[in-house]
Amino acid sequence: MDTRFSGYNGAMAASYDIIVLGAGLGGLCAAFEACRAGKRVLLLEQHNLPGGFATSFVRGRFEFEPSLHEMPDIRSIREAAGVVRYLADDAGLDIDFESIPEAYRVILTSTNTNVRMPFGRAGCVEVIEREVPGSREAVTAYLDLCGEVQSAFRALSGSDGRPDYRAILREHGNFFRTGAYTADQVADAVGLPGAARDLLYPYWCYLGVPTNRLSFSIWAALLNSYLESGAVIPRLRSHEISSAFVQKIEQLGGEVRFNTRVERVLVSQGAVRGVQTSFGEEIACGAVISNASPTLMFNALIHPFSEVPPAARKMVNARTHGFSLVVVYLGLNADRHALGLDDYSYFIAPHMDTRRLYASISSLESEEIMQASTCLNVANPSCSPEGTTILALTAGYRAEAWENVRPKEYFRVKNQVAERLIRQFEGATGADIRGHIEEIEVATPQTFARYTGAYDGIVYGYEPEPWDSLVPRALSAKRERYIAGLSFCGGFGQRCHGYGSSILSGKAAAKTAVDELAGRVTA
Amino acid sequence: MKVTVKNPLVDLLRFFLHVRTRRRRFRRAPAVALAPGRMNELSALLHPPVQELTVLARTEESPTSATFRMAPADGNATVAAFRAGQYIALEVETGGVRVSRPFSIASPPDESLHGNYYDITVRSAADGFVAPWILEHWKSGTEVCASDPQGFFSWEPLRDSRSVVCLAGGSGITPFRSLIPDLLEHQPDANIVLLYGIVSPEEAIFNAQWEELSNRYADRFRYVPVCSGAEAGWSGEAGFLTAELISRVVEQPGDASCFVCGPAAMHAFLDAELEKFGLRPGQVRRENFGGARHDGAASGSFTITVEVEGADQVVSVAADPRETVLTALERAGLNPPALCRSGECGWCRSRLLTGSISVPERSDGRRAADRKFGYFHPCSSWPESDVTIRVPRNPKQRKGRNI
Repeated sequence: MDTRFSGYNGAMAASYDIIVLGAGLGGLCAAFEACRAGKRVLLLEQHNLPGGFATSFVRGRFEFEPSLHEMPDIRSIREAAGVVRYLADDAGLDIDFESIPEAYRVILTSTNTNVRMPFGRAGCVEVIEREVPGSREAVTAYLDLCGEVQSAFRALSGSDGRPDYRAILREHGNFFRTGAYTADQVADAVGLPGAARDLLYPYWCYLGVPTNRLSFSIWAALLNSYLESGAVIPRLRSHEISSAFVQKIEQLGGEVRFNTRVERVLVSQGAVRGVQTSFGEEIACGAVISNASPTLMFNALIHPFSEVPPAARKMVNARTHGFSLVVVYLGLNADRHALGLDDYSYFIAPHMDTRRLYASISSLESEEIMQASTCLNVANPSCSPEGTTILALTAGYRAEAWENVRPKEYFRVKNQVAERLIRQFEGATGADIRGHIEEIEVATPQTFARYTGAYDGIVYGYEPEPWDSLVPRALSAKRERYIAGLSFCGGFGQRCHGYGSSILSGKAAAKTAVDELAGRVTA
Repeated sequence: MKVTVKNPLVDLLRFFLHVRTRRRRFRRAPAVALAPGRMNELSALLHPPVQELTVLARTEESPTSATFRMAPADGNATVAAFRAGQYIALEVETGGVRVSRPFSIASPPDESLHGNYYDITVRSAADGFVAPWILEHWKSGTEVCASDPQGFFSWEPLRDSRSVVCLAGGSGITPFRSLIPDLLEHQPDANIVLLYGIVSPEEAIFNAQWEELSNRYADRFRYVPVCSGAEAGWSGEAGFLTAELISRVVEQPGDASCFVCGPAAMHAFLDAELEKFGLRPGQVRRENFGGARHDGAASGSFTITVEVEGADQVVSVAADPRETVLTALERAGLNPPALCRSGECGWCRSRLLTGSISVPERSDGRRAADRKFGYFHPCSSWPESDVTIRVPRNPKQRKGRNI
């Protein structure tokens, strides 16, 4: 009897077609798609919950959303194949969504900027014209260009791997002409005024790369997808998405094991053979889809280490690892109206010089903090009891900012950082937060490392500079497969990071794995 | 509109060349292996999956309780840092049944981390079988497997009042042995009153420390032992921890942060008493180890059919409806994941496949989506029928102890 909860009892475990390593959004979607393709699937997760960053936690009367701010609601756009449509219609997951009323409020304290941005291209142009007179033409051209870039992406992704480049070049030529440049380079080319950039650039923090290095293509697609279609969140926090995936996987005969960390991915002669788990069991499989990053895979997981091609480590080392976050989760004992919180999304910073804001996230001392903060009740009124409010203050931090913090100082330091974010929020909005805190929890890069196992607690994947953006990643996909039977999904995968990208990367990884298994069978 | 960044030809060329840029960058990068992430290393220090400890010393505190000082079995290891008020779950094996029980760390963080030990105080209770077993068997040299520090029973500077009322009963005094000295040391504006409910004077634990602290911090700390079994010669407060008593010793209790730790009966009593002060929900913090209580439990006997993730066998377990699902699993010799035993941490989260359970509102720590998709916390759930459940494997176990 004793051995039952320790699992492994010495027998060679049954083999699976596909083992998915990690139940983050990418892994969940990959497991689901692989099951849907009729494969025998085992999904292994080191934590006792699914979702990775897409989860939730309870403190007192509050259940907090750890990471999701919003997902573009592409359902209203007929030709689009966005993530929400995928979840709701294609995958058929049991998820209730709530709509976000306005895009965001941007508050820049050094220039006294305080503007609420609406959803919809036309509305944005109007608001920016009001704030930055004479900008109408440039802003219209810029937003149209962003729309064109996204149309090109849709044409590419709808082409099933064989895009008609000529047709895309004819209809969306600007996609190619701007594709090698940064967001700033293209804004310069279009003549977008600086004050207009201040109002449009806040979303940069969802890609985590300053606009002087950020791939314009991915930036344009992100900006357009939100402004064009509006955005949604799941009603029961993102744990609802993760749980709905698990339900589907199990309905389709897939197996999910929690508390089970993959210690080794067993490789011989350049091909995946199976995995070894933290319970000691070795499980054979034909393919592994890894929601763990290439960084972890090629430095720590592949066994024996001699099976890691040097080129794979070069690939990891050539790239810039993205940043992690500090999030202050607040359960407030006052109604949001009484607190004066009328917006779902607040971007608060001294200025919108993204290069300087980015530079500041490597130090805990910096005062030049940008926070992206959400008041959940504005979009989801039933998220907390009557007369209470959930507020989450989020700021990017790189791991090196925290590397000198010793364990015994950790609790004190994270409270200092939290207090700074709270004061910044209070200063910018005028809301009294500190007088109403009923529950508070503070997550740091350490927290994210702890619960997800992500390298350095990184919430984003590799930074999408132009050469490491969607298109070059997609065009290099075949060349950059280093081990037969091993593919990647999640924020470090092909599609860059974010909820939608992570989910859809799982779908793509499942297709790769299934195709590869089929090829092996015929061979 | 045709956008030109550099010039029309260069723009197009660069698009088709940036895959080459990528290749060149990859080629030129070093092939060295990366060191482990610093945040992963920090995480391993703060939250080791298990801590192997050895009892260094045992000190008798009262006729029914003793303090065990425990240090890492590996001399090079350090105990994980913690917040005053947190607990560790200890694995105890008694009569072939292996269970995990939470124990508050009874030493302040500064002393603990400097000396590299945890103090745990164990008091024998009439209804428990783990504490008497520990008191009978543990001595210097005993090896103990512990979890990382857990729990939310801490004073939080951004949230809690500087006026702190600590309400302890019986062995519920132990977290305060860490919380109070820590707060007095680090929060010069904190004002603390400790009300300690005991049945008889000789069972009061840490009396000498409380006296010493109230001398040293006379203006900021007040110790009020309250004896319910009135005896001749007892000159202190008699009776229970009533609202009347609290308002006599605390200035403006309505503004205070209250921390309550003690037996379930005391929690129930204080719920009613504290309500008289009109406190807001977050003003009362409770530590409720194993104290999830359920008065409306069904009667009869049920069967729990247990599937374990990753194991083929299915186990049938008899369940007394007056006990939690977790207790039934442990009685049957299973050792499922468990930490807080009060519904809040979610570590025992399992799947309810068939049948029904009941969860008292006070200890219902489930996520909303877990309720929707049929997950529950066995530690705070009582069976209402025969049930089938699926439980994850327990990773927090001493290595090498499982066959």
